[in-house]
Amino acid sequence: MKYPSVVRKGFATRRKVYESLERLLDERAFADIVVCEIWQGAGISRATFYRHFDGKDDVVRKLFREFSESTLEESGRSLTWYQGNLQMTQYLYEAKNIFTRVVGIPEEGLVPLVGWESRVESLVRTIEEGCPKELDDELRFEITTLSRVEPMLMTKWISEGMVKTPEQMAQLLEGVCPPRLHSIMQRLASNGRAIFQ
Amino acid sequence: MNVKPIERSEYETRMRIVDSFEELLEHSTFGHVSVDELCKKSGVSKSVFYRLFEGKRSVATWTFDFFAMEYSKALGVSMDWRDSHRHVLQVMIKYHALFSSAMNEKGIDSFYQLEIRKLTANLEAALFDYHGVSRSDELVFQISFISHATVLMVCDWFVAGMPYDMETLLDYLEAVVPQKLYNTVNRLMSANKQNRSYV
Repeated sequence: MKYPSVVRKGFATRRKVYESLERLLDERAFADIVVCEIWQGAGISRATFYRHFDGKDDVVRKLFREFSESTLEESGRSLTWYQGNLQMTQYLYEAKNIFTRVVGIPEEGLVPLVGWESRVESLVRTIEEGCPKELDDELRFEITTLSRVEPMLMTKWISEGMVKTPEQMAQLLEGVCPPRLHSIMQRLASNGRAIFQ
Repeated sequence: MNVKPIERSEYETRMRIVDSFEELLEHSTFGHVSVDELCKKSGVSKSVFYRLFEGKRSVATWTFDFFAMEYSKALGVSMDWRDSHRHVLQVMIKYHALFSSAMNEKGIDSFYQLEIRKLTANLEAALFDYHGVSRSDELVFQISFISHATVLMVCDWFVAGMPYDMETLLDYLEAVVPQKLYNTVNRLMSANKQNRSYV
């Protein structure tokens, strides 16, 4: 697996857990794996495991969140909307072996837990910094809609076996971004690049 | 499509039951309204009631399935996105007690999932089967997006006690319809107008 460059605190530990789960999934089904095998395989203690995760299902949920949110801060800054989405879908695709083999968590079970508030906050922050005047109620509605729906479409992609490539998914996501929000993000991204160069 | 076409008289009887249910719910709760009461209020016999509905739960489901399907079919013929959204919202507002009960009965998350699936199926059937638009990954994805968006955002608005007016919500919803899908429906609309002007 290739891991996101931008990670949250404690990722080094969680990474061991993800790798342990992936190894276990090579041998048997998700339903037949016991929690203690995951933390033993990761070489960490039970206490450490539970500091990061609530249980077996939570490992998959956290992985999803971590991978799907890793590029959030970059979209509209150093990355265009498309580049941000492409990176996100590529990271998720890296964990394909885990996601598509976890049959124990149906689409419905994953969806309510994949959190969208942090997406809203992150996008609002980017726009507040770059062009605060644009941030009216309609734009907030567009941001909330996109933030709520995007993770659901990603989960759907996963539950369908990730047949579409990350590039196809990024292209499709490009087509559902509300036009106004999209043009604002593009403008901010080109400003962002100018700063970076 | 998941709702069978029905006769006018059957439609009227069903709507009488639906209207009575909504009236009863103004002063009671879903759990407290009995089928007997409902039959009495709407003036239909119990046997007629059970011929039309499986039980009181299916009264609520049928109402929204029926109207949602009607408006999906009208989309691109007599209605654009805004009109079709407006009609659904008007039904929701008119039968708000029934709608709230249906939402709470099922639990909000499974209610969302179910409604999203139904709306997706309706829109796909309307565009691809009914209007003969050619199916592409892009349009299928955009239909999935707008189905999720509509159900989630409309229910949020509804659950929050309709914090701003309906026309504002319609503006917002119009702004999140993906471009290609939006244009496809507009093209259908203008093609239909042209056809009609020849008649």
